[in-house]
Amino acid sequence: MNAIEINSLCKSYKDFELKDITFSLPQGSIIGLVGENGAGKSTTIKLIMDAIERDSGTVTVLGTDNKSPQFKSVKEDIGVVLDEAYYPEVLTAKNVGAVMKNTYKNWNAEQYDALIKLFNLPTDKQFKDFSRGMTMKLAIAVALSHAPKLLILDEATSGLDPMIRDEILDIFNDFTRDETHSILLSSHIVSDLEKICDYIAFIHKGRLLFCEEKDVLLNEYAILKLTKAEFEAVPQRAVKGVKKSDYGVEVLVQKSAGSKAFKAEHTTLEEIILFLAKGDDAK
Amino acid sequence: MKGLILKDGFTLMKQAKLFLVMILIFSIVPVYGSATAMFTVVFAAKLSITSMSYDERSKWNTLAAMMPYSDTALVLSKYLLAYICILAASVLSVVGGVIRAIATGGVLEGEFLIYVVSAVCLAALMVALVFAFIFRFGVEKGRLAYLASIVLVMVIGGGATQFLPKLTGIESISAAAVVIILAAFTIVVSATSIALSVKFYKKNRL
Repeated sequence: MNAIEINSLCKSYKDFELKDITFSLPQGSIIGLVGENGAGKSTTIKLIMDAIERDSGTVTVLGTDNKSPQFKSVKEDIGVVLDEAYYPEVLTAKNVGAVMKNTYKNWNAEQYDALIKLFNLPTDKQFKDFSRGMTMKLAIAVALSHAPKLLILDEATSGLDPMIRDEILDIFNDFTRDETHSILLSSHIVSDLEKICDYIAFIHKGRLLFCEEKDVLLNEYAILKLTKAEFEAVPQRAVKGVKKSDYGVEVLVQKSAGSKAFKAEHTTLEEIILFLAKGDDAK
Repeated sequence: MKGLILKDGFTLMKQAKLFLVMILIFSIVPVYGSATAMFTVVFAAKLSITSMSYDERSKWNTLAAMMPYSDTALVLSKYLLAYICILAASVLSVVGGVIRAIATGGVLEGEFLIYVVSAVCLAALMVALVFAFIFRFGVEKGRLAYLASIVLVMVIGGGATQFLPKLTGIESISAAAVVIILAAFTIVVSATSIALSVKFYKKNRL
């Protein structure tokens, strides 16, 4: 079963359009939703959670259409962390625990307390005095404490220092050890996604440029560093992105469609995304 | 919905404590008499607007939309909070009245109770007017609506006692009858306000 299935999802605003988004997240996997700020990642997440109205398309989460009346109870099984915590500033971690206990049927107070302790969060300090790291840790503690089957994380690691990010990514990795657990992780920090994701969906200016297994992407694409003359000999169907400078040409090629005559260098997810985004902009 | 009410309860804890002390002092001091009841109940209605202000500042509704709450529950919880505050304030007013009566060696007059019930109705009317406005235009503009509603509600309250006998053709209409009519009017306006607020809430999250 797929934890999330999105088909031809569209949503338009006056100055932005999310167009024809289609991808799915197989159960037990982690998908990384990557894209620049304002690409449409948060809009996609809000549409998945039915927090905003879509124009067209379908969304199924944990086997339930998100427009059906049953979706409210499915939300019990979804842990969400947004880019901010959005709790009223006068609340404390203790208050948040009490509120969530009366919000989620499966709330596990012991687990919440254990996570608060693990994250070294103060229980009686008002939320307004929390640092961004503390804020995100609190939101993650909440998301993990009601026995979720699916975690939806919107820029949950942005603005955190590398130590905390690493710590949090480990927690997410542990979460998917249970094969019924899945994660959708939206971020513009590609290195985070490369670390833990099984699938990568790249949204650029409201359109899905690709959704592919991370390992397939890394095997399929390569960087060629060529002279201008050498570049002319590369089959154009294999060229997916080009960066020209006075010293030569850097080319992102799709290995399966390209020539084996040139020595291709291993590429990173970040390079693939940058090349593809620039290639799309140039169109 | 209990979680939502609890969240607002925690948010308003500080103001509620201050409010409680103020009510008790004003209720017991005889010089203010029954006017205290009106002030207390109307001010209690304002507490729920404060909670909406906190929500708006923290963008709580963005997070709430991810939780297993319906739009109707999110809207209703605010009305419920307001009614709880109004009810609590009215009970405190009555308790204050009883203490005052015992201290002065008198009895709690029926007129005072009618006055408290009227205050409850007028406060609920204010909530009905202001909340629909807030759910449509936000808290900042809602504060202006709050001030306008005070004037409007006073006019309705005054009008009810002044003109109801003429409108109904009954020369001497009892205070109790005025309160019953006012209560019925409040229920109708409140139900309309809730329906409108749910509609505005859904529209705002488009």
